[in-house]
Amino acid sequence: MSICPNESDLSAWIDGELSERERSTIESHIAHCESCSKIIQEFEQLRHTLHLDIYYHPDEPDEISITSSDNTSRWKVFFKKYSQSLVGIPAAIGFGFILASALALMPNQRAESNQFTYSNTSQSYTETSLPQSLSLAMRSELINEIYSKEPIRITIPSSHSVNLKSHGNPHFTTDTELLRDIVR
Amino acid sequence: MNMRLSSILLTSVFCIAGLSLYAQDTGENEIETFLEEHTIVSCKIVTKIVSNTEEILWSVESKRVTISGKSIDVVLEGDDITIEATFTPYLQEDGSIFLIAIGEVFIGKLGQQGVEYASSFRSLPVEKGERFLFFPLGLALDENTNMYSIEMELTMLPYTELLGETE
Repeated sequence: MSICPNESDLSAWIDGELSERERSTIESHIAHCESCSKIIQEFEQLRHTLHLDIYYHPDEPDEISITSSDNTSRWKVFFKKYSQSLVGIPAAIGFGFILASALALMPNQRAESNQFTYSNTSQSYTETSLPQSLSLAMRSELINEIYSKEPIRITIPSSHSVNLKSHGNPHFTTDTELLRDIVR
Repeated sequence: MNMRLSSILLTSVFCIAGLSLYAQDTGENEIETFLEEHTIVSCKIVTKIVSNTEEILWSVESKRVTISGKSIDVVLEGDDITIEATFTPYLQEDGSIFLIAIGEVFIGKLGQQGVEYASSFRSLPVEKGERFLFFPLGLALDENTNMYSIEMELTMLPYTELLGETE
């Protein structure tokens, strides 16, 4: 007579979680071992009490039959069958949530680094805020325009180009200065 | 297996949702932070060709927004003339603008011999809305010659004030 398998192996046998070889070893053992048969009976009774009327059918290794029409049991069976996969769903939700939260927090840090980047050019003003009516798209467009590297390109019509001749050095002035010069 | 596939798909959906949320949030936050930190200045540039009798023969208006320290570049191209102007406003705490302007003029075909070059540089404080003028071909016009002049007129206003004007 072979050594009795432990209870977890017997439970695994009931659940159909054993390999073909392990299964046949246990089956050949319990065929002539009273104590193990008794343990198995107890397990089955316990399962029955818990409405988990699942019995393993060695002929259909991948199937589990449901012998009760109880809906609760069906859900339990379903859960048991897919428990490994179902773990993935809350895990996925959790992962997605954590990822979203973590990434949502990042811009604040980036904004802080922007402060440093722009510190050489920024000034503090009271009139900085733009009206809320300005849509995000418009705001975004504004920034794109600010950082546009494209110069403003203007083409002078040929008809006017011909008469353009230099008559002095390039000169910058303001209205006020110009008026002052004229007065002088 | 189907459930595993569903789990993978669900994970992907959440990742995509998370990333899009991140992208949107990043965009919004960055824009808001940027706009809070900077005063946006709107520049109106009117380029004119004026005859020796002060008649405006041709005019074009351009607009561009910028922030303190960020230049606005203008390239004016004609048949035998290229004018490049760079205007950099620096906003002062009293609300005035300190402007740095650089002008370069190339007369002749670029890349060929005999191109005349002239440049000018100016830095001065200007008031909001005050007209800043650039005469790339010089200021003095001889009324007896049939020559045209170019005027570039720059006006700067805080963007918020400009919005108030349009509303």
